[in-house]
Amino acid sequence: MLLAKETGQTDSKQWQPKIVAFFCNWCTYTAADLAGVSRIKHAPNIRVIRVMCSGRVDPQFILDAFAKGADGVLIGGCHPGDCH
Amino acid sequence: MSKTNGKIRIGFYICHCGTNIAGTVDVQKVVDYASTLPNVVVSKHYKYMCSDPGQEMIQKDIKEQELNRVVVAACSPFLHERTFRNATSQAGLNQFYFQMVNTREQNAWVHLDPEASTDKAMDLVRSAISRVVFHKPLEQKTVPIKPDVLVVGGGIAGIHASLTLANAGKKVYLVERVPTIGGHMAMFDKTFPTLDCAACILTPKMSAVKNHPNITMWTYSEVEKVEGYVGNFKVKVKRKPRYIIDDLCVGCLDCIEACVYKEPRFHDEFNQGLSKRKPVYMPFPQATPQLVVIDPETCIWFKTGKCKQTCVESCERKAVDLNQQATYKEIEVGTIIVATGFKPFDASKVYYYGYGTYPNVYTALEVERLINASGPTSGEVIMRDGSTPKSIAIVHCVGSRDKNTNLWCSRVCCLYSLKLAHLLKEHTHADIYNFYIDIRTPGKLMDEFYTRMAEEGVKFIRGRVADIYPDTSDEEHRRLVVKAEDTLIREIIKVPVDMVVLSTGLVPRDDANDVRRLFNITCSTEGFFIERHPKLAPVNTFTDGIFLAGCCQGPKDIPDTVAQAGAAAAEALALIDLGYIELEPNTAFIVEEECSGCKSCVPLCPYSAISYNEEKKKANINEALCKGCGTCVASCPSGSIKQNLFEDEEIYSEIDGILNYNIYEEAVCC
Repeated sequence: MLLAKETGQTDSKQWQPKIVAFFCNWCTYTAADLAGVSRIKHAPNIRVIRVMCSGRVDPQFILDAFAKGADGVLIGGCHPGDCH
Repeated sequence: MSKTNGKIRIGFYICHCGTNIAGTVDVQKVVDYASTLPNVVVSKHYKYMCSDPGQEMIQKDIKEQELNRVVVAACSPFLHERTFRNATSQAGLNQFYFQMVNTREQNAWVHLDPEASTDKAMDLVRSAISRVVFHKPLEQKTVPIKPDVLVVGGGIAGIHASLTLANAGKKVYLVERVPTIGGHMAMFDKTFPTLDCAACILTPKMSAVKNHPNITMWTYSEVEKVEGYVGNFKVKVKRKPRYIIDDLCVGCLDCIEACVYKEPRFHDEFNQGLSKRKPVYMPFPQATPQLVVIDPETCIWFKTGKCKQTCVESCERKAVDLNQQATYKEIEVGTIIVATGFKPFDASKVYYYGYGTYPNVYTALEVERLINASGPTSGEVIMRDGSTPKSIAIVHCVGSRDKNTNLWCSRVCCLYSLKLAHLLKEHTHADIYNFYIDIRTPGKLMDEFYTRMAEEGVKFIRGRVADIYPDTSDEEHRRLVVKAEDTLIREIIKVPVDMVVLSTGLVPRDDANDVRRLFNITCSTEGFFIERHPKLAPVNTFTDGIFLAGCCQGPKDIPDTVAQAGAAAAEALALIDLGYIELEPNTAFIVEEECSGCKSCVPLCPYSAISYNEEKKKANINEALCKGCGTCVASCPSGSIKQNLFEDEEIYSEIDGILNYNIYEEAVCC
């Protein structure tokens, strides 16, 4: 774990990526809710920011997230053609 | 003197939701942490924030502590954002000074590690607390609701919803794809557990739909396009050519008699192919409307262009029009009820049950027609080989509760299997064997019905059928052997029978995905449409103004379908009678001083809400057309478009909030 060494973390507490997610109100945010209702377990690294549409995600949001320490940025929108 | 003194005073609350949240997230730790954050003056946890005492706690604090911002960490905003906004506004604070943190659906319910879950909650709480500072007081706008309703699907769900709405004085458009309303229920013989005949309870309702002055019934029609939003939908309906002029046809059936095909020879959909029809046909004797239809797939005129057109000649009223074209109707409605129904599972997919191979293997729906007095055999159980069965096996769970086909229980099969057992016994006095996994008979009078059937001498064998094959000891090879493990006596048994009935499950219609797209609603991976909340909003969808009824939402029996259709109608009525809807004030607006008039936003708007003002040389957003997607905001090169509730500062502060706390702070510093 190169990154863990770089950040000085010990093996017992492995490096965990921090992922900032921009989820649209319609498909992805509701899908994440549905995962909850269905109790589908997943990794706790993601931090969701809700926007009305993935079209609202300014490229600067992504750069800003990386600049402030995000290890990954995930953008979730609707299936192409399913615009709300 | 006021405590606020122009300062931000945030109240933070986290909900235990019983143990739903508190079982995973350390709420005390989150509360302690939140109290250290800037601007937070109140930080509390409570068992059920959405309850009255929870809401009152917020309101009391708003007044006594002079809070001017509220953050609640609880369930999804889809569930209780409105609840807490209302509580906020009732205490005299603008409701948009509220922010919610999703700590249940997207946290406690999906993570196993309490520490990671608590860390995540703290990150998101910090994010909300830094965001809410930038919130502005906003006003909700209202738009009027069009009072007319579109009901899609003319089965019992659509019929009941239409009648309820029409009886309340609302104008209803009922659109049905096939030439008659009635749906699957019209095909059933009797209904469990009361054994009253399906036609006797359904056909009066069908006729009431047709005669109701408030219902416009369009059969053999399909919804082509849906635009707009709650209160103001524009819908385009295609009326397929029936090749019969509706107003002239009286349903005398002379044209059917006159058809050049002397004998019916095409698959009769209504009777599941157990009888034949002509290219010109009446779907079934009680079809509503009583109009014949010409099927261009089988009519020789449409296939070859050559026919004597005896049907045209025979009609004294000149109702047959072979040149008829599809017509399109455009309607404006405020609400839509989707009741598009189900499809029976295709039994041939479970190949080892031999459906389609052995003629005496039937599906349950075929048996419904076979025992129906107006069915292909006038109610006599005469099988495809001409014989009457003396022993019958009913195989439960075909296409249900099976990892090879569908995982779900179709809910009605046990009961309709019991019903068919009773009816087949009544008609044939045959020995009846039910092969089941579990007998599931919940509901009023249902288990009593099961007991009755057992007392009537219907045999029950617990075991999933493994194979069905011809009985070689039977010289005529008519009999079939049903092989299963009787799990109660732990033995493999082989039961020779004359007839096999496959109790097929309920599956979504093939085009569920297209319908979902058309109405902008969601469906599960199986294809059943998803309700807004499984318990508290069972007929709503995630699209406001669109409601669900019947089996398109999931398998259910007739009583539940009717109840759900009534509920969908009531939900539509509630909207219509209020007369208006409140819109989320998340629209975009132009900061004119900063707009350079570059026009780059104009073509990007999916709703054509942006125009260019030549005089001012600025872009202009029509608030009524803006749906608040924010695409223009993200694209504006000069940052001169803003979106209410999603302003740049609000989103940047959320990003800041999430990231400026390092969840491995300790590890990093050493």
